[in-house]
Amino acid sequence: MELIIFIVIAIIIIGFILIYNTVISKKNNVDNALGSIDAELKKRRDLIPNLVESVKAYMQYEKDLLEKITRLRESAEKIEDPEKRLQIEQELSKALRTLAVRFENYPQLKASQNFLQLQATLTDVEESIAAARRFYNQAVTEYNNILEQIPFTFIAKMLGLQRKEVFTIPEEERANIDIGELFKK
Amino acid sequence: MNQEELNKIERKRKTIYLIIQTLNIAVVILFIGTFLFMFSNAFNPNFGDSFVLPFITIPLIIILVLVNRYLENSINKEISKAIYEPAFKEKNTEFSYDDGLTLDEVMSSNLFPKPDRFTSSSLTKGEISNFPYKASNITLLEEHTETDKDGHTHTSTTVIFDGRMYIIETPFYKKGIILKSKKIGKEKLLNIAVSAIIILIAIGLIIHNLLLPILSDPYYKEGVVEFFKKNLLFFIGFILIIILTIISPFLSSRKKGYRKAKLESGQFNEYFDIETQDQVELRKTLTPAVMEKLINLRSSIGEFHLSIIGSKIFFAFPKSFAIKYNKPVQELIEEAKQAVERELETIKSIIETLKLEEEKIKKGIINNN
Repeated sequence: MELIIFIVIAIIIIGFILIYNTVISKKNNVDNALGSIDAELKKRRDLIPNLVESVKAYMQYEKDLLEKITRLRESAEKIEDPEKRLQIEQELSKALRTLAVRFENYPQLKASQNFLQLQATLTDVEESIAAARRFYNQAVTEYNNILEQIPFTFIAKMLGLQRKEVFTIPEEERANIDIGELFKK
Repeated sequence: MNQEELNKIERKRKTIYLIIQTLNIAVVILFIGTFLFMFSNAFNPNFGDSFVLPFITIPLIIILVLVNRYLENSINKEISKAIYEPAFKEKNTEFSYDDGLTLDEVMSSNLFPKPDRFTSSSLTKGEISNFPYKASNITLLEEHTETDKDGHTHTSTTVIFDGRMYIIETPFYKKGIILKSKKIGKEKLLNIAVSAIIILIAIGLIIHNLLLPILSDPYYKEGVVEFFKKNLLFFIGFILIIILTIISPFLSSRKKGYRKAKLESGQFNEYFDIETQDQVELRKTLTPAVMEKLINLRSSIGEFHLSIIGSKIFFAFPKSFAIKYNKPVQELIEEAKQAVERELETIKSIIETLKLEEEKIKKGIINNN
């Protein structure tokens, strides 16, 4: 009988370790994914001064927009709180999209190799940001699922872990989805 | 290869086909004859005198089987040279039957464990949609040697992979993405059945070695400690098995720096085991549209494995064409042409799926400055 108790205790301990490790690894995966987004956003912030510099001579009528982009970039650099920084980054994304649309009004920009290179790099970074968001959403979904599953939910409650929100596309972006562009991807 | 040479091969094929068929019949007759002889004399008291016959017939059967195999291989080799060369040359591709990808090249794909035996042949080199590639047939085998209680060693061979591998040079650089097709359908069911049998055997062993002895021991209350001491080795083994089961996912064939990944598509996860060095890079490459195309490709050509490492794409899939020496050479040439066409179309679709053209343009823009 003692032996059975010993085996049952051993199995319970091993089970607890496994469940605990699973919950912690899911939580760390979310942090890791958030870090990836941050790294890609940093790459974008580093590109902005060069981009603004290379287009401002051509886009004199967009002075306000360029100033707004510079201001938002500086704010994002300074703010420590990741959530507030992400809010500013979203505004920055919106401003950059507006700028990308305005490029079309300045055909002379297409002649600048420097601009074309920056535009290609920016597109590449934007794709990386989108990929990092997918990684984050996937990690958060797995984490949230585990918080509601038995037996993980008991350990999660013991550790005081809370649900996390996935990234959602802002309403204005959703309204302007270009179906043609979607099919090209 | 001109028509005269083809006719010569065709004549040779017919002759060898005839010899192989004759040898096959001879093997069957010898086998049945030996079996009947052994069976009819099994109860004969003078059987010892005639016992020498199987010692002649069995080695003879083995020799005939080996000769048969040698003839099959030699004619297959000649037919391969004759039919693949024109099929690939038609597509402006270099072809060399005797050469193949090296083991190092295949291993750098990170798709397979290191084999004990490796063969490669039918090397092709060329360009598809302006992307240089090379490919060859590859076979990777693993040998298992076991020693039984009498000290006899038995060697068995398992096929790790037998198919064709393409290596495509790309304009980009990726840290590492590996997609391996999972077994689906019947094979998956078979795996589940095997796992279920193993679990049932394990449970049976536990009941037999642990529970039944405890319950059948009349002094079990007093004798538990004694029983534990007596079966200490079993319990240590049992605990080791549990520990190994827990850590086995971490000890699996995972490559250095690679982590398993799951993507948003349930079907994609069901079709492929995904490993990557960079989760962002993985999602940047495998967009939802790319995933959908790879799912379709999996449904149409069956199991395939794909890895993107550094500036190379490795694509391994089952052979689309098997040489059958019982068919006329001219017919095989037509079949080979169609197989090569299908194969190159598949590679083209991989290049299109991964949007390599766009990557090239993008890379060109970035590199120009």
